[in-house]
Amino acid sequence: MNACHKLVFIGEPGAGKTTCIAALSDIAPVTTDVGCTDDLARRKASTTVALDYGEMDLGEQGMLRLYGLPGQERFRFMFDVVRDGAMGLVVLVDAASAQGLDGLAGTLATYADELRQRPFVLCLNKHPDPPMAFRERCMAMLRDQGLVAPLLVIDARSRSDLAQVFRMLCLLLDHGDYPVLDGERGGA
Amino acid sequence: MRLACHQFLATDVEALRSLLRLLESYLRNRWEVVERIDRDIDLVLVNLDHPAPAPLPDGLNRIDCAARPRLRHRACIHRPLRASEILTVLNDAVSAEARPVCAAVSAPTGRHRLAAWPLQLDGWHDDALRILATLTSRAATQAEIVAATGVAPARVDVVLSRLRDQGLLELATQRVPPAPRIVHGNVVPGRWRALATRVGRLLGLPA
Repeated sequence: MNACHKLVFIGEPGAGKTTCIAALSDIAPVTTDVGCTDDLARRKASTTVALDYGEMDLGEQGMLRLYGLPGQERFRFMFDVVRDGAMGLVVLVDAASAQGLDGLAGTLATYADELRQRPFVLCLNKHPDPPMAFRERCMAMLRDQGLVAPLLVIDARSRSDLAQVFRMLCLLLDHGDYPVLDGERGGA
Repeated sequence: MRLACHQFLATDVEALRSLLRLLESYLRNRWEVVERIDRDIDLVLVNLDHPAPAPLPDGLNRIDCAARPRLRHRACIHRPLRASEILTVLNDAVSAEARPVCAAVSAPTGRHRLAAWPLQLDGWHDDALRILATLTSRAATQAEIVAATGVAPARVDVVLSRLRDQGLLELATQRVPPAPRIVHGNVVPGRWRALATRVGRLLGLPA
């Protein structure tokens, strides 16, 4: 039976989770976007309220399942649904928004315990060259949570950028030790 | 300092020589482009676009160059060579190599803990990325890093020294037991790299 790998995208609303999955998925992504009714409506028309889902057929190397989860604490329970077999996470930040850092703070506060146990890559999206001060703030926020991860600047619409993210995640998996339960890697 | 070009056109090498003359006053050391690639070479520029890639001896300090570097890896620079990138990699190579490696870094028994990844990965070679990946999830001694990455001890020291200079590396002060290498029943070492290659190919990256 072919292996099934899971990749989880998390981040604030508007960080690019749905865009990443749409760029990678072989199937039409399953989304749970609904119209925004709160302050978020000023930034985007709709947002993910449960999860986004997509799939990438890897041929003989199995299937890559793609999940996009909201970063807010109230949606934290969704991670329990996709945790088993997750090879790693991609933490997305809207680097073009003044709220990007606040969103990252919320995401880290919500997911820090999971991020300590699994490889993840911090991706700054929507800005081709985020200011150094922005990058430093992001890294400082990771350090404050006792987290260490590579930071990449990406365009979530770019398949080659996402390939680099995946390559980095695999580098971490190949060389790192993560207290992932046996059977999770490449599991269901 | 001796610089070589691996599998570049002669015109590219001449262009590099011209570039070095123009950059002379900005370079921390005097660089000379040489033809022969041997163990004493300080830096090798490698043309990744060459249709018939020839292997290089292990352990050389190398910088990959490609027409579309973003499709390769983060440490890859543009070919044709750009003045700003050449300036950065040559001055970086000097600062990393010429700096005396402090005792704490070179001590084979000291356990190193990564505090953070560099803010920009341009100029960090594959070897360095493997070391960073190893240190992301655990503190490790130089010997453990060598074992986990296959990178030569001297090169590991250079990378550790560079990380330490940037304030990204700490020496674990408390006695930390080595993180056990988690072995999964059916996990083949390097299989993630194979998966990354597969995904990269599907997403349009060159093999």
